[in-house]
Amino acid sequence: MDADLQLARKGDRDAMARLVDQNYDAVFRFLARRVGTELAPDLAQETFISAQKTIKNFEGRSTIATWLFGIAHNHVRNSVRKRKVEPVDWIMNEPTENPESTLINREMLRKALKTLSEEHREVVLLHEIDGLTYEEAAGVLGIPVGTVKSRLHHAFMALRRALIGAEAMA
Amino acid sequence: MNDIREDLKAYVDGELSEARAAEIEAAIAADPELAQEAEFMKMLGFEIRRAAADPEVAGRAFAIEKVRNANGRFASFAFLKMPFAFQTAIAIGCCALIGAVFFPVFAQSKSGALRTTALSRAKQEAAAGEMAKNKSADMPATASPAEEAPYAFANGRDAGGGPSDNGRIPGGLGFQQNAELDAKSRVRTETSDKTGATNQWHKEGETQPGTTVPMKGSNRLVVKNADVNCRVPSVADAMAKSGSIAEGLGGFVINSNSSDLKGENPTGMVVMRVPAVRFDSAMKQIRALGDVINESSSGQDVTAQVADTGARIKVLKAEEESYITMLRAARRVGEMLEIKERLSGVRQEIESLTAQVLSLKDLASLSTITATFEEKTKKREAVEEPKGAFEETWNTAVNGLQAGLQFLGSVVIFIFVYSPFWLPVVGVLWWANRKNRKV
Repeated sequence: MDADLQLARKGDRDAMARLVDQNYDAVFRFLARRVGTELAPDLAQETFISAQKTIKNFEGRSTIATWLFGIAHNHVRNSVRKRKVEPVDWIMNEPTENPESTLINREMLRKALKTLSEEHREVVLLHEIDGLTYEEAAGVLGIPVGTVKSRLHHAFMALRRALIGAEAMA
Repeated sequence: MNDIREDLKAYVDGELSEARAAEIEAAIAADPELAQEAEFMKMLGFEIRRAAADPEVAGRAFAIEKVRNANGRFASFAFLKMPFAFQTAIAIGCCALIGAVFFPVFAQSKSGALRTTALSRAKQEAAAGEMAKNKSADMPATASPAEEAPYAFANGRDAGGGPSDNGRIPGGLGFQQNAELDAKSRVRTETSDKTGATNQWHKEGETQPGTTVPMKGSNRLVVKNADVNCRVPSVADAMAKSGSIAEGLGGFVINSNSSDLKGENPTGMVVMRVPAVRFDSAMKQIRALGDVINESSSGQDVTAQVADTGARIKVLKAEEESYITMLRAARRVGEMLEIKERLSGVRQEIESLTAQVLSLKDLASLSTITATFEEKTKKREAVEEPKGAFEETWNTAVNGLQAGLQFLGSVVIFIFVYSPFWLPVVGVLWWANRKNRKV
């Protein structure tokens, strides 16, 4: 286990601060994609404070980032419930080069992604954007790996249908 | 085929076992449509990742600062770091301590209340018997309610049959006057051979247990009552002797009852009235009948009350005179009727007060003594047969088991009764431990 992590578990605040520094970007982006950049700093702060309180229970069975994502996910869920936060749009790059260079039209992709249910959107975000494996995503969401696999399959099927439908209409 | 299709995304992501991946690969090789689908999924995943933008990060320094200054919840609470069993033991110990502090207080107040109730009930029962006898023995057959009340007082009981060791006068005198009497002239002594305790209320330095209330000069009017409880060799003899004592001193027995005279626990009670001047002598002779278990006496100086009542009678008589004069001068019938009505009221009041004075004087002239007797029991010599060693061991073991079970039962009852105190604490600890358990 990482030395800072060991120290942080013993209550060393400086070590905890270093862990925050190392993982802040990932956690912030995780949150920003779900609640927007306005709320993300507050939730990131709450996530790290929660992590500090419970870090002595962290036994290293997953990576620290995945563990932090799990805490952040709970804060997002609570925030959505308490503050009635609406799901934010996908944060996407605008194609700066020739739009024809992209295999799928960016606008059509955005529209297709918007059609996804909350559950499908979450697994797509965790796996495709946050880069988690199926097992890690299952750990964050607290669901079986098989469910993650199934949700991803159905999410991609839904995206395919949406894209084919949009292409046909175009 | 559907199974293959459902695993296609996992295959593209490299999330399948080698065997399953080989199966999917074979299926893709055999089915161009499936291959196209897999290709599309790969491309879609790539496009999603490529399109995703990284939001600009903000608030890092603030979060780091917050973490540096924050205190972890429960982090410094050493109690929660202990094993759950220790926490529970400490919690129950604290509850037991609180219980030990409060339980005796509750128990004392409860037993105190029970004692008072029992005492009051016993007094009421005794008074009921006395009252019945009083009416027939001591009261004229045609006695009016106004006359009846002082007799009840003479026996130290109120008109309702309740105890009146404060000497309250029912009917004839108002509550306020009684209260004044209590404050001014209550004299009471109590002794007990069992506890050796003595309770005394004395008026201006006067009396010792068993002695007469001093009467300074012949004008003092004191109402005296006494209760004596004796253990005597024979209850029947003691009751007979009590009657003789009362008569010998110029008094009389107003109530006498006995029970179980030929049984194992004979008891008897005699209520007598003796001239106040011979009160001491009567008490002395009654004490001589046996061993005194407990004794109490009380006295009330009613001199001031009699004087007050006399003054009021004087005023009322003057008023009566003036009404008579007015009646003589009256000419109209309505006027005469009104004066007569008032005159009648004044006369009734004069009569009532005169009766009170007379009864108080009568009460002061005779003291009431209530003597209770119980028989001395012969100590039976227990003849114990020698026991065998086996029987003795058996009895010891059975007694030990009984004592142990009683103790355990008491502990269980104690824990159950105090569950409202310790159960929430244990619940909170359990919850806190559950929340803090390793993940």
